[in-house]
Amino acid sequence: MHHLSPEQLVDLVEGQADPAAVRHASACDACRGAADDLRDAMALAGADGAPEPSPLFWDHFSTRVGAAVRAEAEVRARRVSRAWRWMPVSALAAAALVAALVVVPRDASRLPDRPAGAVVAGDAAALVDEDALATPDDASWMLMSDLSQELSADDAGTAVPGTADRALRQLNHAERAALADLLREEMARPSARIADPAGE
Amino acid sequence: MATGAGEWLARGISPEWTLRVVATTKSAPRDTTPLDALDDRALVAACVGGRLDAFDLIVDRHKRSVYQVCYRFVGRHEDAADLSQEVFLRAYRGLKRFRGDASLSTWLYRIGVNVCLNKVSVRQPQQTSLDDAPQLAALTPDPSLGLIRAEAATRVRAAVARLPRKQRATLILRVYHDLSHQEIATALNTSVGAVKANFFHALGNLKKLLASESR
Repeated sequence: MHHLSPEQLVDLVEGQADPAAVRHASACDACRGAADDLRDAMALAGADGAPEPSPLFWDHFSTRVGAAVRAEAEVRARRVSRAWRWMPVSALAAAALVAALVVVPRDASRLPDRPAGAVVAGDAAALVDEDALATPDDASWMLMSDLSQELSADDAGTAVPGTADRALRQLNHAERAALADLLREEMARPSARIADPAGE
Repeated sequence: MATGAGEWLARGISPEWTLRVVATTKSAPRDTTPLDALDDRALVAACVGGRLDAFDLIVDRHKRSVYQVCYRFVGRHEDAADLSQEVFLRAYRGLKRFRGDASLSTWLYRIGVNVCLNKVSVRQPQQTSLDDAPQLAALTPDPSLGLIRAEAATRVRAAVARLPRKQRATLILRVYHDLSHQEIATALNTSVGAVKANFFHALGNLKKLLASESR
């Protein structure tokens, strides 16, 4: 039989070795010596007793951890509450944007008052000139743009990232104004008010 | 077309039956079992359900072992206390992910070893000062014998701190916390064979380090 492996030697020292390994160790000086070395090292390691701080430390520690955990729980609760406060606005904006995606017809010629440079949904990604379409003085555009930045892919349901932006760009002035009115109306409702973070 | 009940009553027609509306939603019966009587898994469930006092009890049950494993890694009381708090905070954050495959103590050891190894890799462990020795010596009836033991303990701690990370973690959990090889394998996310091999090499290296120091 070969000499015992490290795993077998550990088992031997801990009294868990199989009978064949025990028989080998009793007949093999090298393996018996290796096992004795391991026992010595374990005894040396055991010379370092368990560290025991002052008895007063434990109460202090429990209090300290309890305070840290409660602070953590409070932060978490605040985060959840903030998310819920945004929920109606986000959900409505998402619904409006998704609806806009669905409603905008593919045939651009049917749309009245489409601004020059606007493109049809579906072809948008490749053709849109973002700078030309982003009109900073258009309040409706700014409002919707701000709101859409708060949206995540989850809020928008099945819409893929970037879809909301593209959808917004497809709307003409009248459609944007109508959507902005809808959003303003929703945001004016008490349930949609957002607390001042500094006042928390 | 539907007719309102008021209209029927106005016509002098009253039913021969009575309609009683009973609420069908019942609030779940409150568990009145004292927290002290709950095992660790039940405490975890209570804590996930929002009872922070359940987590206080988890801390009380495991603070000593968590502190000691941290102390073995860093060798300084203040650092061990800070790391222990970090371990419990991480445990609290991840409590929902505790599946109960292993015991809560093994799970806490796992977090503890990860926290300690990360910290120790950033900052070298501080060696225990020989100044600590008189305090330990005072705990024994024979002060001179106590001093010798304390010095031996300090040398061992310094040697353990010089072991490679996995070997150190394995030796600490096996020798000082009496975890089984299987529990250590779970805590360190490795195999039982690797744990035994690491333990073997840790003991061999420890003996060499102590021998070279005494020369």
